[in-house]
Amino acid sequence: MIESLKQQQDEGFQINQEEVVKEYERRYANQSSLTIKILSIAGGLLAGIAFIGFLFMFGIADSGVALIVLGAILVGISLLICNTVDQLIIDTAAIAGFVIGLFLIAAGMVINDVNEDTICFWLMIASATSFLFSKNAILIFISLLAFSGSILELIMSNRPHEMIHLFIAANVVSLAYWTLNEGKIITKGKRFCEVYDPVRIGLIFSLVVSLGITMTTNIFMRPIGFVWISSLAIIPVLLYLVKRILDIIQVTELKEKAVAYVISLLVLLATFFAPAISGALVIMLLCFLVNYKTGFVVGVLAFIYFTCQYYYDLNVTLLTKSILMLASGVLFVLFYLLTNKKLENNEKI
Amino acid sequence: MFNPEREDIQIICKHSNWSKDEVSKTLNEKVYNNAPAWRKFLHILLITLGIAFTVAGIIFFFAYNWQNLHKYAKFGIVEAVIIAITLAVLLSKFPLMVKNVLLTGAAITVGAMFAVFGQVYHTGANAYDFFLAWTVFITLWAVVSNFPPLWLLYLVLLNTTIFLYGEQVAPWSDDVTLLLAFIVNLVCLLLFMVIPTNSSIIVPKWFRNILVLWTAGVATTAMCNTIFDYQAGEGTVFLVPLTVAVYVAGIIYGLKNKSGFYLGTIAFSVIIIITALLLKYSIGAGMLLFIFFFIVGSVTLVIRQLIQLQKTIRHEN
Repeated sequence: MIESLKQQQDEGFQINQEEVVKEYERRYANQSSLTIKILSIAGGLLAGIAFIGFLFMFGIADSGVALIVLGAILVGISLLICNTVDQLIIDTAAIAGFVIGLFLIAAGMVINDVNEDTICFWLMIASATSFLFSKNAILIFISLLAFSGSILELIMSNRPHEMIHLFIAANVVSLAYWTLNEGKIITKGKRFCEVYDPVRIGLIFSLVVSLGITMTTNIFMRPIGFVWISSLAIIPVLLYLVKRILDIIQVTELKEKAVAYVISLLVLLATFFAPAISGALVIMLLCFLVNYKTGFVVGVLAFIYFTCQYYYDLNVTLLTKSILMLASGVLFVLFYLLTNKKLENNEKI
Repeated sequence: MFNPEREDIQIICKHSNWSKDEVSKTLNEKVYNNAPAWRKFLHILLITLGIAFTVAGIIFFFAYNWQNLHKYAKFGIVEAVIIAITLAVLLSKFPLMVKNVLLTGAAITVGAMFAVFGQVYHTGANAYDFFLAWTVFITLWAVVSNFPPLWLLYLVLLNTTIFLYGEQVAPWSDDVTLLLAFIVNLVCLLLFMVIPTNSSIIVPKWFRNILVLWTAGVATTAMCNTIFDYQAGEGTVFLVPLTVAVYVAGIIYGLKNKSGFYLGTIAFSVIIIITALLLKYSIGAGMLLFIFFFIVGSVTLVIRQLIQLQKTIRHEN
């Protein structure tokens, strides 16, 4: 494979074949499947719960300082083990240690009556540091989630809650940038290659969670106003994606392009006050574009859930809901029939 | 030919000075979805959204329970919708995929019909007989459709019926309900597994995996329920040997077919069951510490075996 690649490239192309072969051998020995990844994460979490239970039963949990110190040590050891022993089988232990560590740091500060904002701040620092130093994909993923989780908690425990729209906007834009510029990012250096995959899935999960918060305003008694602000960030991203898709399926005529944009705008306006739905749509389209299956499935599930939740919460009579849905259903079927011919014609060419 | 996957590109990038334009070009050509894939995707997306919203609209319309609408009008509307969709499936020239989506829509509308029936004659919308009737009357469609999403709907209805029956009517305790659910799901799973790979019915991997996970989940819940329930009833006598037998068979099947998924799922279920046993014995500090080491150790061991298995698969290829 390398040979055929070499032939295609110009003369300046250099490749360290020895390292490539080594890397293949290393990955070959540690080849992970989704089953193994999920098994190590689930096992790590269960073990973590058992260990935390032990600490509380044993009475160590009475001293806040002891918990913080223990937590920091655990986080450090987990990172160290992961970076020095590059073996898949220690993942479970390392993940358990890492999650327990972060939890203990937070729990220790709660016991010592540290203010909530300060706790979030320290967790942000701890997870950011782990993010920078970890070489393990799962730990990078978890620290990214812990980082964005702390920011979200910081926003939700303070006012105004509307700050969450800034978070969502930043998250959507960075996810789009990260996904669409894959070639550019992974050629920036070894470190970017390492973090590329975990950061992408981490951004997706963090986006789903933050979008979910905008939908569950009544549950936490923390009403969020101006929900549409998030849409202001999501809609341009979606329109840009529509442009990319139209380029791919080679829609060139002005009239057809106009129809496509009008349809997209109609759909987007309908979701203007439900950014969670359009946000999930962004995830779906982005992941389909770059053929990233895990992310695509997450996007589809989020889309279904948010749509159902939206109609469930909608404060109108069932009859109005019914008319709204029937109308959009018929509209989609019409779009289908309208585009059907065009799409099929293209297939024949 | 140079036909890399995403992982190959990443590895080469890491150890070469491959230019960003070339990498982007390769990704675009070899990894990303192309025009035909997009056309197919947009097709399916639009028709699925269309049918889903229309059917949801119909359901909400009847949920509104319009008092002025005569009951015959209600039945008339919902049945007309079902007939119209079914006729579209039988007589139209739509592609097979679209027909399948339509048939799934019809199957959901049958539920709306029985809900209207319950509304008019006050049989209670939550009772198990509503789901039982719904399940029974879409069985034929589920069988002939060859469409996994419709199978999934069918299985959800089947399970709902069983659990509601156990909760509302059944003269027995929870362990029998769980045992029944375990057996029913197991039979479905076996049916899907004996379908030969060269037949016209294609069972996608994701569908079978969901069924495996769900069946193992029910078995695990049933076992944990038996462990913690002090008055374990008549279900236990059958449950324990059945679970053991099925798990042993599953492990043999997994080893034979080199399926890490089966082995991983069963192993994790067994770990949870053993943990439940340990917790039943004691919930003191010492036991929790022991459980911590047990979980880390056993999961690590399982993962090691799975990696070993993958290596042998690679060697054979």
